[in-house]
Amino acid sequence: MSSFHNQPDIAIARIFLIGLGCVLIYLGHKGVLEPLLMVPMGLGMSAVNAGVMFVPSSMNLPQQGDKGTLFLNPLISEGEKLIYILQVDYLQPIYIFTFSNGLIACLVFMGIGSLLDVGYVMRRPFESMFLAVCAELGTIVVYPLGVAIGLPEGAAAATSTIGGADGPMVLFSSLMLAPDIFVPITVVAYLYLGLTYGGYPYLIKLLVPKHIRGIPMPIERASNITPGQKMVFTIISCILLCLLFPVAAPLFLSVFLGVLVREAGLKDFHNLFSNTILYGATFFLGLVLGILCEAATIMNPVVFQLLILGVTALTISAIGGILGGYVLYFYYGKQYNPLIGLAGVSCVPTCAKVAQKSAAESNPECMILPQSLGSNISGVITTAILAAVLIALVGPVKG
Amino acid sequence: MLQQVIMKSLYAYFLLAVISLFVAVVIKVIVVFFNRAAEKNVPRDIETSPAGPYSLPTMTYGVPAHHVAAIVAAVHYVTSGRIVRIDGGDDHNWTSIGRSQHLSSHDTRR
Repeated sequence: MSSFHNQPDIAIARIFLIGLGCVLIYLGHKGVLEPLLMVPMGLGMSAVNAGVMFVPSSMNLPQQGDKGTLFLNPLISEGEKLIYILQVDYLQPIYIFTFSNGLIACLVFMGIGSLLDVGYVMRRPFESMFLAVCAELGTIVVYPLGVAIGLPEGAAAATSTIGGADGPMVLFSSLMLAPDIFVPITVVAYLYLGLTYGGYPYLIKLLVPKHIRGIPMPIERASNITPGQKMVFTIISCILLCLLFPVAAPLFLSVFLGVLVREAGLKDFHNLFSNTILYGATFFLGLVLGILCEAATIMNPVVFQLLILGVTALTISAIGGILGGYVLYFYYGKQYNPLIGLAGVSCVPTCAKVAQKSAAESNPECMILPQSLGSNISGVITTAILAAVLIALVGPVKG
Repeated sequence: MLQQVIMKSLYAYFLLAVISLFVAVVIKVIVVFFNRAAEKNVPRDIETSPAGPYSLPTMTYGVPAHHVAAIVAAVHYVTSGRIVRIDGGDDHNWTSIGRSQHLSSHDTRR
C-alpha cells in the first residue's frame, strides 16, 4: 500500500486510468472510437498503471515528474542509462527507434498514402483545396488561444495541429515543437479524433438544415485521370513541398511514396504498405501511447488545457469546413452540398463517411462521397503544409 | 507577445492558402497538359475496310456470344485497355455480395 501512503493522488489517478483503459477498449469494440488504436491503447494504459501500483521501491518506482514506467522510459537522455534501459524495458527499442525520431508517424503516413486515390483531388482541385484550407480554421484559432492561456509557443502550436485531425501529423509536430509534452498532446489528439465519429453528426444537424443536407451532387462520368497523371502530380508535389519545407520533408516523402507505389502498380509494395506497415505501425502506436499513459506521466498540469484546446480545435475546424461548403453552396447557386466542406477535416476517410452518412439520412439518393473524398484527401495535404509552416515559423526544438 | 502570435497565425494561414492554390494550379496544369497530349495522339482519320466474312461462336464457355459482345462494348466504353474475365454463374449470389459490399462500405461504425 506504499503507493497510497506516499503519493495518494498518483495512486487514485492510476485507478482512474485503469478504468479509463477498460472504457477505451469497450468504446473501441463498440465502434464509438477507432478500435485499431483504442484496443491496444486501452489495455496498455490499464496494464501499465496496474503494474506500477504496488511495485516495491527497490524496483525504482516512478515518481511524479519521473517519466519512466516498467515498460519504457520516454525521456531518458544519458547514454549509459539508455543502453541499460534498452536491455531492460522491452518496449524501449520500439520507442527509441520509431517514436523519438518520428519514424512511426512516417510509417503510418506511408500506409495512408497507399490508400489515397489522388484522382478525387485531381478531378476538382480548386474546390477540394479551398474546402481543405477552410477546414484548417481550428489550427489557426487555437494556436494564439493556447499562447493566451499560458502555454509556451511551441506547445500551443503543436496542440493546435489537433485541428487538422491527423494523428501522425500531431505526433510529428509535437515531437518537433514540444517534445517534453508530446505524450499528453498525442494522447489527447487520438482520444479526440473519436469526436469526428461521435460529435460531428450533431454539429452537422446544428449548422445545416435538413433540406440542404440532402442536396444531391451531379453524377460524374468515369474519370479520365490516368495513373500516369497521378504519378506526375505526386512526384512534382513531393519535390516542391520538400523544397519549400525541408523540416517536414520526411512526412511529405512518406505520404507521396505511398501514393506513388499505389499508382505505379507495384502490387507487392502496395500490399506491404497498406497492410503490414500501416497495421503494424498503428498497433505499436496504440500500444506505446497506452503505455505512456502512466499516471505520473499524464498527471501534468497542462493536460487539462490540452483537453480544452483539442476539442476547441476540432470543433472550429469542422465549423470552418462547413462554412467553406456554404461559400460553394451560394457560389454554385444553391446546387452544392455544404456537407462536403466538413470532409475537409483530414481524418481520412472518417469525415468523408460522416458527411455521406448525414447526407444519405436526409436524402437516401444523395451521393456526395466522391466530392467528400476529394476534400478529405486535400485535407491531408493542407494539414501537412500547415504543420510544416508552423514548424518553420515557430522553429523546431533541438533535442 | 499575443499580438505577435496572432499575426504569425494569420501569416501561416495566408501561406497555407497561397501554397494550396499553387498545388491546385499545378494539378490543373498536369491534367490539362496530359489530356491535350492524349487528344493529339488519337488518329484523326481512321481508315476503315470492310469486315471480312466471320461468324461469331454462338456460345463461349457457356456464355452466349451476344452477351460477351455487349459486355465487351460496355467495358470498352467505360475504360479501354482492361482485361475482363467473363464467367458463367449458376445463380445470382454475386449480386448480393456486390450489394452488401457497397452498402456496408459507408458504415461508419464498422
